[in-house]
Amino acid sequence: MAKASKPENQDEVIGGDPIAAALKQMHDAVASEELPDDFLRLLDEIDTKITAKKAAH
Amino acid sequence: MAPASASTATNPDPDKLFRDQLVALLPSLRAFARGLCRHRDMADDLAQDTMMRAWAARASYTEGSNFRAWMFMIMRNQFYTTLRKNSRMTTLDPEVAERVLVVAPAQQDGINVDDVAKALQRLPAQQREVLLLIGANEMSYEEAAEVIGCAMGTVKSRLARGRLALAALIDGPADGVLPASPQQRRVDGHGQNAARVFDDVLREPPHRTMPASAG
Repeated sequence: MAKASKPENQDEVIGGDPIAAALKQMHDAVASEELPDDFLRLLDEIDTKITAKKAAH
Repeated sequence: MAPASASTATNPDPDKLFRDQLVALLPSLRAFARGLCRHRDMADDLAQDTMMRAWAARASYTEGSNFRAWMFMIMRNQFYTTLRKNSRMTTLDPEVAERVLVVAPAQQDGINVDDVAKALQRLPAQQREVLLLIGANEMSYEEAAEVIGCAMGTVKSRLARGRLALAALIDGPADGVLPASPQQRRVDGHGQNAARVFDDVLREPPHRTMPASAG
């Protein structure tokens, strides 16, 4: 996975901009939530498919 | 010939790698979805649809390319596809917006985060998505342009107009009534800026084709 470094425009976008800081705070609030069960079930489905594919080989 | 165990160690399962990248990105995907949609449940539906579409289309992802941009592009495409089918996502309903906003009110350098969240939902989707990609997800102009499928100049333009409109909506006209539509808006003070921005709203967002195997 290509890891994105801090983009050059971030100082311009975030620096001293309370709106950008508020947007980041909104993002972080959701991102820090625990994953709902529906997501965990989907991940289980994916894991099952991976396991089944390995077993088939 | 190398033993099977050594081969496995040096060539990890690509499906497992893909799955791990997906899991790492889920919090940001959920946050982007929450910003795009006005309803928490819709946002999580969008994030789950994106997960499964991406998984189905994983063969079309080029390892080493920008996974985040690829995933956000799938989510964005799915959002606009759903938007066309579901008018609830475009209808401005301030009462509903008040109920579904989940970010706790907080002050950010004199600006109430709750006010920003409400104002954000009043912006055209094209300006909202740029603000979310760059402001909230800290993407570069280039990465945001890749997600949206437009030129960097377009991203910069939408970001500038989005910030202007957001600031105008937060400041609000003198009586505190936000411009709900171009017809209803007040044209005074900051409202003039908002009015000009709303006039610039593009009617039909660009749509990028989903990977064929994702459907």
